[in-house]
Amino acid sequence: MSVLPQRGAPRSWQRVFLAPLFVVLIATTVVPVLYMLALSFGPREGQLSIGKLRGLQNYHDMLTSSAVWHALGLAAVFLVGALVVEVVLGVGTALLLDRLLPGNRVVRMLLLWPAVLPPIAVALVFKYLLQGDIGLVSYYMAKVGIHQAWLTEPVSAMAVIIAIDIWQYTPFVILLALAALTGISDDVREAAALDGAGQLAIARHVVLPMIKPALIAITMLRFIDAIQVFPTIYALTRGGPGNSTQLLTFFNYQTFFGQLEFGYGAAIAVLVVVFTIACVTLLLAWQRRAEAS
Amino acid sequence: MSDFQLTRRDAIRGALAAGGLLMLPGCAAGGGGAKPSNAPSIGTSAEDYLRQTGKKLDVHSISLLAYSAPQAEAIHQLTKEFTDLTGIDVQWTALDEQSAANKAAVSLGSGSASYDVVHLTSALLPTYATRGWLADLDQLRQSNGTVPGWDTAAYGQGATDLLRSKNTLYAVPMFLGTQIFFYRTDVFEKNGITKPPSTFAELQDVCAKVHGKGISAIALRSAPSPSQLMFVWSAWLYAYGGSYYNGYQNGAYSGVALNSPAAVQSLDLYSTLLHKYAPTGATNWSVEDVTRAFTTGQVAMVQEGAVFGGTFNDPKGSQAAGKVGTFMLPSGPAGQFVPYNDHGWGIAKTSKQAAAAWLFVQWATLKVTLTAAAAGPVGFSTPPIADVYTSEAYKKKYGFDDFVPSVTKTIALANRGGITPLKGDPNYLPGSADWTRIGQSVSEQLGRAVTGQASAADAVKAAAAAMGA
Repeated sequence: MSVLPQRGAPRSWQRVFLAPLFVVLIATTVVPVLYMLALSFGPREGQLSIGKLRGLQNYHDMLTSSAVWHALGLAAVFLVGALVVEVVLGVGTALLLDRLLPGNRVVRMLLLWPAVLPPIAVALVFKYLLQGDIGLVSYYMAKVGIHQAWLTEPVSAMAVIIAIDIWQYTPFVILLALAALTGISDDVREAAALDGAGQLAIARHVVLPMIKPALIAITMLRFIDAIQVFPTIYALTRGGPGNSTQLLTFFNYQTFFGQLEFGYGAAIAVLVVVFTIACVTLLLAWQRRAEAS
Repeated sequence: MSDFQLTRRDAIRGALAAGGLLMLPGCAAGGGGAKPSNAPSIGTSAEDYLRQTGKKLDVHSISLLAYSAPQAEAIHQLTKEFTDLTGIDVQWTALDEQSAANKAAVSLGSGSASYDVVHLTSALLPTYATRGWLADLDQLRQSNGTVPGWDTAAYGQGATDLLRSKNTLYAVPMFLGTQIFFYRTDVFEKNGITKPPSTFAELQDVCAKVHGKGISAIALRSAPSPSQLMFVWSAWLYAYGGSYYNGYQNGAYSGVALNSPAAVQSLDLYSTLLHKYAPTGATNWSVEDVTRAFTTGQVAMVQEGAVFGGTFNDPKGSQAAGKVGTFMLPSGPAGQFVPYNDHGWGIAKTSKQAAAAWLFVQWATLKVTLTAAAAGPVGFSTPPIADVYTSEAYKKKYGFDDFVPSVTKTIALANRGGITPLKGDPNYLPGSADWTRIGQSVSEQLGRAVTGQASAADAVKAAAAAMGA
């Protein structure tokens, strides 16, 4: 008789043990989502309690608002800019490290360091480095005649927000890519080398296709995290200059708390969730196709 | 520290015990505010009243949400006096202004009554009042009476009107938010400037003279929000003859008037000064950035809150200390206007301790409390009672250069109607309930001119469109 638990419907005592987990999950995920949905059908302004319903008016207002599309566009710019660089740089570096320093624990520990720093702390450090003429970087650049207003010009402000994300999370991508690379046996590489393939060709035609599903999963993880970017914008630019860094999540915050449009803000939050789910679904489909091939 | 506490306590107790506390006339525009019919008898001292009422209420504690700002912190440091008198403990939560406003919105909007007393700005009051989040203080006053000597007349009509909505008082003034220009006397002297500018044209000339000689000429709030760029620039707009709306009647605004040559001219000047004479990158600056630039000696001039007088002249934290001069905002072709708002203590409508909260609000806004707060170590230099400015304690603490006359003249100008071109409107920025939404969009559009993304004319046109023009 096997000592391992049998698959199938849980027994009643097992249900009792599982119950707290479901209660917590429902309370922390299902209830807030339902509350947000209910709020989104309520008045555009008003109260946080669920009252008179307004139907789909908030959704209509949202979909016909140029500000929402602008915020979504900025989010897309940020996501593409940050994720492409993080994945390309991260995987490239992982391929190099895997060859040069295989299994080096110190390197792996160091790589984790930026990712575990609180984003608000990182943003504040960068603020003091880049701010006006008094930031450390700005100050020394000004000494050599370069006056760059990093945070107060639309293009450079967005570039800084993307760069901070890249700085903080590329090492994390390297770490995950290194983990994926451990699944490739040396025999495969040796076989390719025996067939006359160089290191670049092996990486491109053998290794990358093999870890492609893992790379898509890494991209998905980074996407889910990056779409929620907020502390960096809050600490560095507050959505400015103008509205040039008012990405979807920050726009959502401004609508909800700055303009106190609770119903409308909830509808935008639903849009953020739908957008995230849609993108994740696409990435999952891509991953399944990669696994199948 | 202990010496100060003793003096402060004595000052408060002595003044409270004097009984009656006949309030001096308020600001120039003051008036109204007759004594309530149910006021305690003349013989009852304020201290006794607080003690007796505290005992009668039998409330252990009230909760309060405040901005982490000098005006609240100065009161916080005195709150033990209130607790000693009434037995009511004040659970104080202080957060930065944005976080406190967020928390207040969630607490008030959900009706959870997490906070009995909330610190709010006059800009937020119309929204809070329209949504029924705040207790009617006129009603609380009727049903609970007042501390002897406490009277809204002390604050002046202008200050209390900002905290009324449809003739109902929803908050009691605790701070006047007005602005003056601060400048470096040594920089002006070095450049041969003998007299501060009195017109915007002169201001531009002065900027050109002092800029670039180891210091930038000016810094102004430029972040796109009603409390930053819009709060500072609107006085310029009015001085050039512009306005947000054409008319104001019974609390309602009519006809968007923003798209005007005056608006373009004033925004163009504002943007030009920032581009030519401000530190690099000063086109998305908030109050913290502007004040830091002045205290670190980066700029020669700032238009900032009078409340920063103490901070700017404090040798412990300011390189400008001892070299700080002040002047009123310059005049434009249409006259002289000043930014103006106030902060107040409001009481949550759903508060279960409304009577105790009402007692605290009165104590915190008594003249003696505010005088002690202004004279304290925090640097709270703009209380809402005009008489505080003539007190010896105030003059002793803030009597540098011509700071006191600059502030009192600015308040007097505000009380003469120098805060808006719209007749009968007590608000500096439009005080409609939807201004929190509109103001943000308008600021963002105006900000595009400041950052150079659009011309002043295009930015003004887009801002007017955001207002529904």
